Amino acid sequence: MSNEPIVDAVLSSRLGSVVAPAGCGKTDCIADVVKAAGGPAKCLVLTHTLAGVDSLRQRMKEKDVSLHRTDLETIAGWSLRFAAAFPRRSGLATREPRGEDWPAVYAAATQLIRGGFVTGVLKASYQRVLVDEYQDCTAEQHALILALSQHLPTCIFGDPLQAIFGFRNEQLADWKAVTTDFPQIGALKEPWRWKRVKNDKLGCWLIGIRDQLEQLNRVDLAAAPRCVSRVIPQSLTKQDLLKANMSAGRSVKLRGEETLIVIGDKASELIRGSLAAKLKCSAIEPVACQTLGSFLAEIDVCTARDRLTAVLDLAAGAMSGLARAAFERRVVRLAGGWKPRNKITESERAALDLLASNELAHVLSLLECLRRQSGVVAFRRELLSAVQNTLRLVVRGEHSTLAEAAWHVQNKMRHAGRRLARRSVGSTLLVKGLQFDHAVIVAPEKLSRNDLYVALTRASRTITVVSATPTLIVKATPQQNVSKRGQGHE
Amino acid sequence: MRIVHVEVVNFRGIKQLSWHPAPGTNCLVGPGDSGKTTVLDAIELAFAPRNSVTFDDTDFYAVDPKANPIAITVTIGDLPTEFLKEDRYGHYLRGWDDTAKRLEDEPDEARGLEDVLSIRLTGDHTLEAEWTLFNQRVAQGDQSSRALAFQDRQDIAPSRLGPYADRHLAWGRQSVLNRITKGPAASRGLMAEAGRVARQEFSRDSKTLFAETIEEVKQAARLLGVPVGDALHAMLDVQAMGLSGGGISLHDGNLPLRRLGVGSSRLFTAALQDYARARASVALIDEVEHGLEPHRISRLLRQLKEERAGGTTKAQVFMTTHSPVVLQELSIAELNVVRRDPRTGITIVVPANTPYPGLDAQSQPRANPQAYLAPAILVCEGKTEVGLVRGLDDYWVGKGHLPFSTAGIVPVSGGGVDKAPVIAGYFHALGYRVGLLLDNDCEPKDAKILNELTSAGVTIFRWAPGHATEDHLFRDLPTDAVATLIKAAAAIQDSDQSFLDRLSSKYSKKRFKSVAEVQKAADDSELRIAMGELTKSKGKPGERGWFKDISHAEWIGRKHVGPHLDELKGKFPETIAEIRAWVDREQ
Repeated sequence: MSNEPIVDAVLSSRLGSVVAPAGCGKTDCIADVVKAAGGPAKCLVLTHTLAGVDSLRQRMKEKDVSLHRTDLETIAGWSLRFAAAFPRRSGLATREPRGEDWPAVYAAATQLIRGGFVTGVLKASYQRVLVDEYQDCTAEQHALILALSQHLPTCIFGDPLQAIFGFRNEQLADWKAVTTDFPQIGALKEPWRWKRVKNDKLGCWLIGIRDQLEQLNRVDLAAAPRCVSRVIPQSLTKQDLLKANMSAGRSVKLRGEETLIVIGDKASELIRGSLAAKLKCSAIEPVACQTLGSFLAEIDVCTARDRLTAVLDLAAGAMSGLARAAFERRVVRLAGGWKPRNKITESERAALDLLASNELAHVLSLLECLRRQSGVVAFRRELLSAVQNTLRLVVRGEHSTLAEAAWHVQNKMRHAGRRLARRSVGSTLLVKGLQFDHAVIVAPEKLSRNDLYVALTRASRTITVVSATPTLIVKATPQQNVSKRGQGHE
Repeated sequence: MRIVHVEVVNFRGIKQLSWHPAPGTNCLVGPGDSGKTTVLDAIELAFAPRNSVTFDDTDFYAVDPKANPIAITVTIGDLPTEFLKEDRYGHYLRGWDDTAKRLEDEPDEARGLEDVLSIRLTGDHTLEAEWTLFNQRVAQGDQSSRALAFQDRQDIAPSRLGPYADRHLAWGRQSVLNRITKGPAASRGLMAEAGRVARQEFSRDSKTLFAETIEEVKQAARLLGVPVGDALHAMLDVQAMGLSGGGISLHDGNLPLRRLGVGSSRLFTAALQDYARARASVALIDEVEHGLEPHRISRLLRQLKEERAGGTTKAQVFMTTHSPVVLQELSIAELNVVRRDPRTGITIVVPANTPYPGLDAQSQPRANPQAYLAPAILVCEGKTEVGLVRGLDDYWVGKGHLPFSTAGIVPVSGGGVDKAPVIAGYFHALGYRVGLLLDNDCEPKDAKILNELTSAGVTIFRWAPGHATEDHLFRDLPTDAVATLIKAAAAIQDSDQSFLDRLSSKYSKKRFKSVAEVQKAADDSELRIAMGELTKSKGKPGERGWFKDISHAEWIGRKHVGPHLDELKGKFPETIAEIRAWVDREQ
């Protein structure tokens, strides 16, 4: 790939930014910069997620870039490492930050660097700083990178159109301000992801819609190549919309190892869950998902009959084919001393144990038994695994509280990354950075400008949009804070 | 690299020590057992490149490993840039405030603190030595502990020039030659190659050399049916010969360099170490004077102090000495006095240039070098008193008393009634046990100083009121002795006549015709008073008093005061007895 001009520009600039639209070889370009930068000091390469770190590492390996040439980390990890190494200088309060503590960690790292306490360490360790996915930087993170850039040449890579706001009340750094601090020194323009599957037309169209989106807040599907199709709902009633969604989902035929993503409402895990159930997909869950949090909080305080209801509610929301009402009725009768003619199943046995005792082990075994029943399909697999793993840690005595155990399970999931099913349902927030062969976008009218761009750029082969109109119109500004969900720090 | 702070806890005789060495030369002096060598050993051990060092019980304070675990912490600055890297030791840095001589646990380059690392060596009753980078964050468990990598420690380890330098003249372990040979690995390569060469050379002649023996061996083997081939021959077993390491040494012609004299081999080694000291810019030298004549001492010291080529920082040298010659070569800023409280083991290093009011300490190492080397000092008002005391010491030794030197006491001349108390105060402040012997015919200008010294702990000895030493000599000694002194005084004067003339200026009762006549009148108390006055008088040569040099006064002490001590009465023998008691007192 011809990244040379950009690589040269990056290496010869003190401060700079590179605009990198989706699928245009950003990771590749960063690997090339590291390769060309040479030694002996390392390049500090920062990104946001562990998945991002993995894909950068993978690309460096492919390009034969010695990993000794880089310090490849998440901004969070790097900040914590440095701030914790010098707690008095950084003012870091906690060495094990949880969600709401992170802004303080960035502020601590910023104070350490801006205060000039360890400039010698920075200069001895790194020759330059490269930051990936800069559009996802919060104001605190931007302040940190700015502080670093006072001591080291710094180039940032990102795409303002892919900025999606997700985490709590954190403010994303304003791209205009970002490019004042880091003047644009180049832009990637080749849609490599689509060229690789000989779908150049889609790639070029996706580059082409950027201006329209940025200036007019609209996308004209009529001008799209043939691989972009539209399913038109008969009316805007709930039923017709649902029907359209179903037919859009079924219209995509997967060949070989191809993958499908159904991009649904960002605001509701539950709606996505039921979509997953109907389309026979698996839901991609946020690592610290809301359902998990509220379920754990609930069973922590209730017992017996209330607890059984809570467990069955969770089960019904995550698995299909349970026949929940009949099951619950039978268990209640059994508990009342009724002697049934047919044998008590292992699920019923587990439910009876749960009613009789407060042991969390019974919650775990009931969920396990329900999942094992024939005809039951789990469509929120990630949620169920998280619940089961959390319970297991407490039952085994490795952690004393459910909240503690959940934190550790989530942490582990962040490090392990997810294994995607071939057919998945997710939100723009959950699928950004991921790649699929086919995409179905339902309810595009609910998407912001950036959501829509991210949704449209996930698939390399076909896109199916459920929309009554051929022109998709979005709100002017990226929607901030649409979700109040307890989105973990990923 | 340079060492900015040394902290020793429970190592050998040292219970506790905290010391900020200076960047250049740090010469440690002090009486034996004050812990000078222990400080050098501690520094060397902290960098010891061998992980297998184990302690034994005697390495622990009070030989009690259970109660007194060892901790040696050496903080180093001027770090190689490599060390600052975040994936090396960057996160373990601490901040050194050189102006305030204060260590902060975390660096602060913006405020001008120097980036430093603390290396800590610990040992407990398991006798295992453990090296880690130390700071409060590690101590509190907030930071994982890490040690300097083997190679790094070896790179910066100080070179030590012990009393015997032979080992550095062969390629043995820890030899400086290994460093010059680009490290131990390269050295091993050379050794292997040398082994090959030796085998080849050997095999050329061995066939004929050992032919007979080999033939007999073959026969014997055949008799017992042992199948030996024709290839049987004698060959060097390089491993058994110990060709590695010490087996190869520097030769001049056929003469091994280790046959050089002690001094020459030390100088030669010092030169090699200087050459090898690219990064390891710290040198430890035991008894720097060992085996060297004074002129070679000064050459070695000058070499050590020289700026290194290329304008890099000069070496930081830690040395011990017992030689006044070395002291005279050093500036006072390079001199440090090590003091160990034998009861508590608390050890301090006091810079000799610690200011003392009224004294220019600069001159002391040159004026009284031997004073720094003893545990106790008797500061005497002038040379007469020094001589008298030395003479008495000689006399007492003859009578079976403890010599002053064994008691650790050095008499030094204070240079007058005003200066002597100041010098006494200075040495006392450095931690020495100090006595002060002053005449009593004249008080110091600083009226308060004697009281201050007494309350500080200086023992002051004085004669009877109004008396100088000379007054006591002539007034108190028996007639025979005074007669001898008169004769000796006359002999010091240019001629007998000028002696008699001087005497007549003080003594008017009678005009003597000859020295013998004066001697006969030795009983006359007025004459005795006049002789005392004249003897102590100051002035130009010819008008100055007699016995104003150490050797005459020493003779008087030995021959005339000592033998008569029992007969003498009054303050003179009392004060002398006080001095004796002070000498004999438990230190």
